[in-house]
Formats: sequence, C-alpha cells, structure tokens
Amino acid sequence: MKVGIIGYALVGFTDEVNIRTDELVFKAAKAALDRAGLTREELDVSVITSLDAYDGITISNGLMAPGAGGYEKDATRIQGGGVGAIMSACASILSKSSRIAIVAGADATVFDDPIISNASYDAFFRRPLGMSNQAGYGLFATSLLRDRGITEKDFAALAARNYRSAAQNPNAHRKKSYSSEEILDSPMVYWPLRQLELGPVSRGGAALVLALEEKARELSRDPVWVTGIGGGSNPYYGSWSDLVDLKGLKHACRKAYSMADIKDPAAEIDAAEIHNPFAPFEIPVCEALGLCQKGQGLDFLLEDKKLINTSGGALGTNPPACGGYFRTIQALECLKKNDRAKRAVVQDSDINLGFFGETYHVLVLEKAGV
Amino acid sequence: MENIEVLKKEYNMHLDFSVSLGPAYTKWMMGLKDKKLLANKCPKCGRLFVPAKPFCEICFEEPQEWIETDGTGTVECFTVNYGTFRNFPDPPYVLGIIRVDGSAVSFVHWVAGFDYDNPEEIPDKIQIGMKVRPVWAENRKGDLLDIKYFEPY
Amino acid sequence: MEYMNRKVAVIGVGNTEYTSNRRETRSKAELAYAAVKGALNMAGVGIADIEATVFTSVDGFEGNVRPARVLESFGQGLNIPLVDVNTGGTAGGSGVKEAIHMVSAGLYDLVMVYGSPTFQGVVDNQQVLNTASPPIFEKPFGLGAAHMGSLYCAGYMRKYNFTMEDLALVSAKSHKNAAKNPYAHLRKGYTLEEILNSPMVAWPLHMYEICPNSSGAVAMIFASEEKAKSLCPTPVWVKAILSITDTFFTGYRPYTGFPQLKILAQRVYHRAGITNPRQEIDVAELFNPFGPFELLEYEALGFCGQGEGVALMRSGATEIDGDIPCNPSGGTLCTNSGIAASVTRHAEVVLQLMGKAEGRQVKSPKTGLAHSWGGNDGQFHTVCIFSLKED
Repeated sequence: MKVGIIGYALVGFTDEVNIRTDELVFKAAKAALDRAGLTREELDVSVITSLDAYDGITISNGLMAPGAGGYEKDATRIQGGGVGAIMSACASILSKSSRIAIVAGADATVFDDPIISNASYDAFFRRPLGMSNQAGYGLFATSLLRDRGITEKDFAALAARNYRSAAQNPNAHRKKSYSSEEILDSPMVYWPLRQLELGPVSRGGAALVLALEEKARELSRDPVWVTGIGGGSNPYYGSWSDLVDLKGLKHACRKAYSMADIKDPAAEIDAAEIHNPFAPFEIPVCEALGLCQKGQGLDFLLEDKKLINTSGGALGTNPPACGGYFRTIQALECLKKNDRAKRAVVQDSDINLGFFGETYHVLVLEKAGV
Repeated sequence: MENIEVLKKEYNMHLDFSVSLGPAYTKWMMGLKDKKLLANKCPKCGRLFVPAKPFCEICFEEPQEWIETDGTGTVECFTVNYGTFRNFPDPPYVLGIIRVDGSAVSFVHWVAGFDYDNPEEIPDKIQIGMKVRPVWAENRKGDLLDIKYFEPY
Repeated sequence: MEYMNRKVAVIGVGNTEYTSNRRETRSKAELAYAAVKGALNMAGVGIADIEATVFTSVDGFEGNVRPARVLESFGQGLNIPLVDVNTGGTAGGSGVKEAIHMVSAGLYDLVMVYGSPTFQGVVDNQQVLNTASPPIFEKPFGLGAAHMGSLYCAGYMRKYNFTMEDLALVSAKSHKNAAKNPYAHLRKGYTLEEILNSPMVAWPLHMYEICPNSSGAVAMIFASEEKAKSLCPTPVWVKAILSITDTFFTGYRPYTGFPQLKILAQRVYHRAGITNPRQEIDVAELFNPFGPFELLEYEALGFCGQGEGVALMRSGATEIDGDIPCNPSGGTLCTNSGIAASVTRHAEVVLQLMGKAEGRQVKSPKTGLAHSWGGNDGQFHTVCIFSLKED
C-alpha cells in the first residue's frame, strides 16, 4: 500500500506577506485542491504544520484550520516540520482512516527569530546563555572545521552553489547569486559562519494533496508515490559527538529506506532536497543519507553530478514552519523536470529552532511508471 | 534521592509579533473608523459575514461583494465576569456574543450602557435575543475598540 | 475492518498523583519519567522497545517553545522519532489518534503517547489562556478560560430555563467521584450546597464548577495485535477515533450545545458499529473543565435527547453505579493537568476496561468512550471508542 501525491501549490516565498495566516493557508490549500481536481468536500482529513511561537497565537492551528480545508472535518497539527505533517497524513491514509488528505501550512507572522529560537531552550541550562539556532549552527560548523579539516573557503563554495541554483528557481525566496568572495566578505555572525552562509526567514504558504493508492491512480495521470517515510531525534542533554554524527537523522533514514526498499542510496537515489539553514550542513547530511561515502561529502557536492538542492536549498528559501512542504514540492518539480530521475529524497528537520532535542524526517519519493 | 528542599525559580517570556491583516480584514476595520459595520458575502452560499471574512470556510470561495449594515444586532449569549485577573478589565464586565442583523456569524464584544451598580443583578438585566447597537469611541483608528461597547435599546 | 488497516490495542498506562501547581515539587522531567515508567512497567516493556513517541502539549501554556525537545524521557537517547502534536485542549485526543494511526498503518508496532502537564509554570492562568484567544478580534476583551466555559453554560441554562442548582448537580457528582480516586487532585467532595455557595467567577459558574490547575502526568502505550497478544493479558482494543473542527472565532459558536460533537459522535459510532450509545457504552470519560459541560455532552453524544441533560443527571443513570457511568474519575473538573487531562480521559477509560480503576471502578465495563474538547472555545472535539471485544 502506498500513498500518492496528486496536487500541490506554493504561495510566496518572500520577506513579508501582506495577508494574514488564515488567508495565506487558504490560498495555498485552494490552489492545491484545484490542481488535484478536487473540492473541499472530498477531503477526509486536513493536517497542518505550524508552531504557536512562529504564529504569535497559542493553538495557532485553530486560526489556520478552516483555511486548510478542515471545517467540520478530522484534522490535526504536527509541530516540528512539514515532512512530519506529511508523515501524519500518510499514517491517516495507510491506517484507512482517510482516503484523501491535505497537508497545508503558512508562515506569515513577523517575529524575532533568535528570541523565539532561544525560547525553545530550557530556562535554566541553555536559555540564559543565549543559546539559539544560529549559535548551534556555529558550534556544528566549528566541528566541521576543526574535526574534519573542511575550510571556510569550502563553506563559501557550498553556499555559492546553492545561490546559483536559487537564482534559476522561480519559486526561491533569495534569487540573487553570490560569489565565494562576496560570501567570505559578508559579516561574521557566529564564528565560523558568515551572514551569507545562513538561511533567511521566508514567508509564504504551501499545500499538498495526498491520496490512497487506488484513489491516486483514479484521480491523477502522474501521481508521485511516497514509498518511504521515517523520523528520528537527538536527545537534548546528549553527547556532542552523537549529535554531530547525526544519529537522529540516520535513524529516520534507516526507517524510510527500509520501507522504500532502498539498499544502495548512492545508486538508487537521483535527487535530494536537504534542509541546510547553514551552508556546510549539506556535507554531513549527504553522508548520513548515504548519497556518498563518509568523508566524501564535500567533493560529492562540488562535483554536482547528482540533483542535490536544485531549489537552492535552505539558503535560498527557508520558511520557519512549512519548509518541509517547500522542499517536498521542489523535489516533485525536480522529478518532473528531469526525465531520468526516478527517486528523490527529502530531508526535513526542526533545526530552525536549533540543535539539541531536534527531530529529523526523511521522505522517499518515486515517480510512477518509470 | 534523599529528602531535599527543592529550588523554585522564576522566569518570564516577552514576545512581540506583527501581522498584516490583508485586504478583507483591513477594509472591515477601516469601516469601524467611519462608524460603519460592513459585511461581505460568499458568492456561493450567499451568507453575510460581520466581521468580514477573507474566505468562506464551507464553500472555500472568496467573498467579493460588500454591504453596509445599520449595525444593530442581538445578544446571542453572554457571561458576566466577577473575578479579578491580571491585565483584564476590572470586574464586573459583560462579555457578549453579538450577532449583527443579517450576519451568519457573531463576534465578541462588551455589553454595557446600563446600570452596573448592583453587580449580582446584572445577569437578570440581560436576555438572550436582546437588541443592541454599537456605541462608538471618540477616537477611532480602525480597531475593534472603535466600538466602546454595545448598548441595549 | 473498513476504517482500520491493523488492530490496535492499549497495553499500558502510567499515571502520577496530581496536586496543585503551587504545591508541586517534582520537575517536569521527573513527572515525565514517572508516568512513562509506570506505563512501561504495566506493559512489560522497556524504553528500548518503544519505536516512536507522541508528545502532546500546548506550547503557549508551558513557558517553553516545544517543550518536548528539552524533556528526555521519551527515547530520544535511542534516537526514536518524537511526534509533537499540539491541537490545544484536544491534543490528548489528537495525540492518541496519531499513535493509533501509526500502529494501524503498519508503520510502527509499539508507540507511546505522553501528555505533558500543562500550566505547570504559569503564574496567571486566565492571561495565559487569553493567548489562545483570537488576536485583534477577541483578545482585547478579557476573554479568558472561565469565560469560554461560562458562555456555553449561560446559553444552555437560558435556552432550557434551567436553574443554577440544575447545573450544579453534575459538578457535585464529579467531586463525589474524585474523592474516591487516589490519583485525583481535588478530593474534597464538595456538596451541592458548598458548590452553590462558592464565589461566582463568571456567570453562571461558581468557583467549584470550574477546574483547578493540576500538576501530574500520564502516558499510554499502543501496540499492534501481535505485540498486544504476546505482552498483555487484557489488551484494550481501539474501535474508532476521529476529531472534528469548527471555525476559529469564539463568536461563531452557538452556545446552547455542542453541535460539532454531535456530528462527530455520529461518525465515530458509525465506524465503531454502535447504533444505540446509551445501551452499548458502559463507561464514558467526558471533558468537563466546567462542570455543566457534561450535560451538553450527554446530549451531543446521544445519551439523551436535546434539552434532557439535566433530567439524565437527575435520573442517576450517569452515577458510578448507573447504567451509563460518566466521569467516574471525577473528570477534568477535579483534575486538570492541561493536556495531560485530555490524554487522561483515554487512560481512565482503558483502566476501567482493564479493571484497574482503583477506588473508582465501574462494574464490568466492556466498551468505553473517551472525549476531549479544546482549541479556542471548543473549536475541536475528539471521540475515541475502546473495547475489550477484539472484533
């Protein structure tokens, strides 16, 4: 039994939006339903991803629920990333509770990113020290620098690669390309990371329509199948080396690949969308996903032989809550545009809030009839 | 673990947010500035909305048509607050669910403009279905508090 | 099974004793550990056997954005997925639903649900509940939790011409039941007279008709059929679970009943094969942070007709020894640990069916109903049916 994606839509992504969250979700959800050729009545469940703190309302899914098509329907809200919500919709469908699901979300509210991220740390051991998402990225980047001999120039080269891709992506937030020199010239934020090596806060909305296999075949000429999906986490007070080793991501990966029956990801996977809110993160993630050998990540990425972050990655577009939807949609577009690409993997996480206690998700997509 | 007197620590969070209301909510709020209660209408089911909605959650369509109501309505439900809570108005105050005539939906506002001197008697002075009309504030800026409260008439 | 792919059962429940937030000395992490350990012990499994954890809470009430990340009892040390479900007051129901789907779908065989005790650090509750109030449109009006509850009670009372005594009877029942529940928070057993003499907070609700803020936690373990049969002598099977969604604004609700719950109940009964709920349900735990809610819930769930909630209460049918015992635990009115309270409705029904409801056991129940309510003034409801009968 598998789940098919039969329609999707994006609205945005930009610095700011001029409508409220409920209307933004509505626009994305309505467009996705239209593309799937369905009415709101035909939905069985509506799954939202959002975070109260990003929206400025406690129980913020309440504001979004009707816009996400959920009025008088079964619904839920998953905090911790778009692919987590996709996983919930898949579980609802595979459990036979639903046949057609919509996943939707929107990032519209303006908030102070470092403060919200700091508020996600406990009040006694980390928050008072000014721990935040970018501080954690800095720590991780230091590990790459000092433990693996990757250089600051390498960081900049990876960032430049993402910007080149983003410049060619009409859906990207930041569309300006930067050279390695310009990146190395940008101000240092959390050593060793510079401003242009860090992702923006992107605002916009997105939605996807999913259906049970037989329904998907009935409704769509070219559904893309979700063949594997998994989650994993890292402990809050855990070991630094385990964190840097991305054990949580590897756990998620094992589950997703086992479901999708992938034994040699380097050979079997053609494209990937990776959540890299700081440029060098692509290296350990590609290695953890098995797209290349451990220790080979930098070369693998700079060779550019596989379709990795053709969207421009999170340096190009980084919605705080619904980034996982954006990346999934970009992976779907990538599969559509590249005839020979059969399988894509989407890696999502909640590290927009920062490291420690973070959750990762991995999704495997497969084109029908290839 | 031996018996130990545990530490209690305090902290607070101060978070600021900013949102854009979008054209539908904005138009409705600006109506309040002009002492008008506007309504918009779903093109499919024809329901009128006060306050205005950017989309109808049932039909999943965007209202296009706007009308001006005369602002009078009824109290669909109410409660009277007697507790003292931080950052809330001093008791007693009456929270009402107000439905402007013709609207398919209601909204929250205060009901006042009558004798609050004997607080325990306030519930007896309010009936479900009681007719009310808005009392406007002097200085209005496109905010729900441009209406001071709804008074029975 | 038309609406389930695989059978799902509950094989373990862990509960802590409840107290007031002010008197609480256990940290959030210690409460989590105690509840989780209790559930693991009853299920006869270790933390390493759990494959995924569903965490439910409402961030805005917790003083921490995404508290799940900073608590460590849930297997993050083993890197298992942590699914964070936040749908306001129904997060317990939604979290239980998530776990059920994950097992029924065949994704996981053993999933834990943990309900975080909410409001634990909060100094001023009404203000905090106000953060869930629609900003710009309703928040400025001093609409707190007590008012969200009193609006329904006011509307119901006026519509059917009930007296305050009519409404207060059901709270007296809850207090009486809670007095015998060793895990409940308020165990004073307030009488009808004491309730009616307690200060009026938000008309028509008196203080003892409004829940306290309790500290305590609860965890449940859901298992596949194979695991359940190998581990548990009395697995409690899930028959059906769903939620329903209303509009966001307080102003859009009719305040004389719970019409969305009525629609939801019909859908859940259909899935569970229940045609006569009054006869077929042996025990129910209904979400009643405001005592009289239980009356509106009787009607919406079809235990009696419209306007007959008070008559049903007066008949004695919903007492512990009645034919449809409701809230034998004392309900949310006597123990409200926030989101844990909405998981607790499910945990209590399971304990009843397992015969493990110390001090509050209903006689031989076979089928039970757990309800949760929440979101801005009852935007969401969930209903779950549990049964000892496998098929």
